[in-house]
Amino acid sequence: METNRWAGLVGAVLFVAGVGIVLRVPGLIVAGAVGVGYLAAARTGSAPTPALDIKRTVGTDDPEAGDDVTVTVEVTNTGEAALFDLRLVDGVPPGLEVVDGSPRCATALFAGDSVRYTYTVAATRGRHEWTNIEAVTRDFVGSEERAMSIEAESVLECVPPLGSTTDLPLRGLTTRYTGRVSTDIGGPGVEFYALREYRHGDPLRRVDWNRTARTGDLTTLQLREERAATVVLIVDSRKSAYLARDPDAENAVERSVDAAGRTFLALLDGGDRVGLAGLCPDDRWLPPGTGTEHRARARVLLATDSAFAPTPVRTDGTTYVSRWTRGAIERLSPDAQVILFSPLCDDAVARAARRFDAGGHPVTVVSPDPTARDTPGHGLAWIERRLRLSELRSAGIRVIEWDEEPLGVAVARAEGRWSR
Amino acid sequence: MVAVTSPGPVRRPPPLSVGIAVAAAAAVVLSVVRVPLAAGIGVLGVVSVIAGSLLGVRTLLELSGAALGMAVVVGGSLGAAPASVSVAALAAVVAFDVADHAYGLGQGIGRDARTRRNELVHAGGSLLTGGLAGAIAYGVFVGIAGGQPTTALAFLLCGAIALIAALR
Repeated sequence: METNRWAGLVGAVLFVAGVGIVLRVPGLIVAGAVGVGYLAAARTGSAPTPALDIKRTVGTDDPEAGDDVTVTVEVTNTGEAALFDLRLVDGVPPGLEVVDGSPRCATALFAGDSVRYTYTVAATRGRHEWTNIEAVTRDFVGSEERAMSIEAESVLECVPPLGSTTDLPLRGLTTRYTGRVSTDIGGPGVEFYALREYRHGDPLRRVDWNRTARTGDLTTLQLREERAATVVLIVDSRKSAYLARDPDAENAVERSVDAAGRTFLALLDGGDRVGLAGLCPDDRWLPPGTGTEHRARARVLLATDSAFAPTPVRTDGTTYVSRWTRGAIERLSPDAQVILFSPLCDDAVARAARRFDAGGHPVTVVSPDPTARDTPGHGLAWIERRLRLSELRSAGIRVIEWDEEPLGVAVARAEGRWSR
Repeated sequence: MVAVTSPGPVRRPPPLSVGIAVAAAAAVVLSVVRVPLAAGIGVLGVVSVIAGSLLGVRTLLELSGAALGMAVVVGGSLGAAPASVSVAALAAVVAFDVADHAYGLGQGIGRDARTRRNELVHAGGSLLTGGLAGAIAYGVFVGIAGGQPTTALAFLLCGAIALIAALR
């Protein structure tokens, strides 16, 4: 490809030499000849096709989120031709940010020479893949350039531990296992529920002796029975959910995944059975379960799976939300409840929440707010989202609106307005 | 996760090339310093090459190229020695070439990346190309200086241009 760097030089040469001829000044003709030299070089030069050997090493295999990871790129010219002007741009994965150095380099490599440069990225949750290095070569005087993309694959996988716990209140639909959801059933538990007349077979420890002493009748103390729930956490990770207030802010899917991780851990620790699903083209479904192994699987899934990636992995493919929802309802056990993490920036997902609710699965929506109000268009999106939230609320669905504050604060605020 | 502010590529020409370009532009002024008008125009070129490089504005670099070229023409027309005019022309082309190359590096690669070797090779190549062409042309000029220098040189130049047009 021509760079047109020397576009004006022909005119300049003719002008200088012309003035020299008209005024009979030999010096100017010689000056014109200097320009002719560049023209000749530009005319004959062609950008070489580089034969490059590329090695990329990623400093650490298993970094913590936020760790600095050094990436070293070594490029060797294995061809015969000298590369007088070689520019390299390493394709840093979109989820990573360069914090030191530069993934770019410009150099000149003669046959057999190599160049090595390093830069540092901050590791973030997820599986990050380098695929290519872009190389641009130019000829001696830069009149022509050739760009090509050279394959060089590396992977950085960062699996952070699931975050600290946030207690998310569940709605009263439970399994027969003992857990932490309070029921309206008297039985074994810790909280006072009711008193009733002693029946044959009641354990002696449950007899309220004070009352018996006062009235002479044997009375049994009943406690509120606590049971476990089955909960499926659904993260809305469609391409349209990757929304953020400004380019540097964490996007809604990042926040949702973070919140889902915390909730998962909290529920699992509380004895509930928890499942995990991604609402996206790659259908992901971790059936509800308990135990250490289940926890480890969820951790890896949340950290590295494409359904929960910090940046959209698949740019193709539409998610048909209603079809997905139908499939999900079929898979849900009848007593399961749903916690849906979504920015709620379109009607399809709001409809999905209502369908879960209609299907007999109590729904709680945790909605990270990605809207801004700086322009009229953004303001409109903000209003639309607010309306969607209030529609869901009036349909009896719990909605936790999550602004910039920690999730726990948002949950506490939302709890205040729920009528149990 | 703590948000890290992105340093991003600093899209300005790397300093080494800017230094070389300014030095070459200054060499134009020095070569035609005997003709005050030419030197004045040359200083304009030096100023705009500095401004264009610091601000990263290509129009200013083109302006400086034009000013340096005019300095050569005016200097040659108003009586500077042929040798100084040739040197001035070489320096003018090198100044524009290096400044423009640095601008391209600034845009594509950024100031914070390693570009030193690339810059030195390019500046060296540029100087070599112009120097070789100038030396040949000047040699021819000195060699045939006895006869009808201007006309003969003009024909030679025309021949060279025709040859280049036929190349490739």
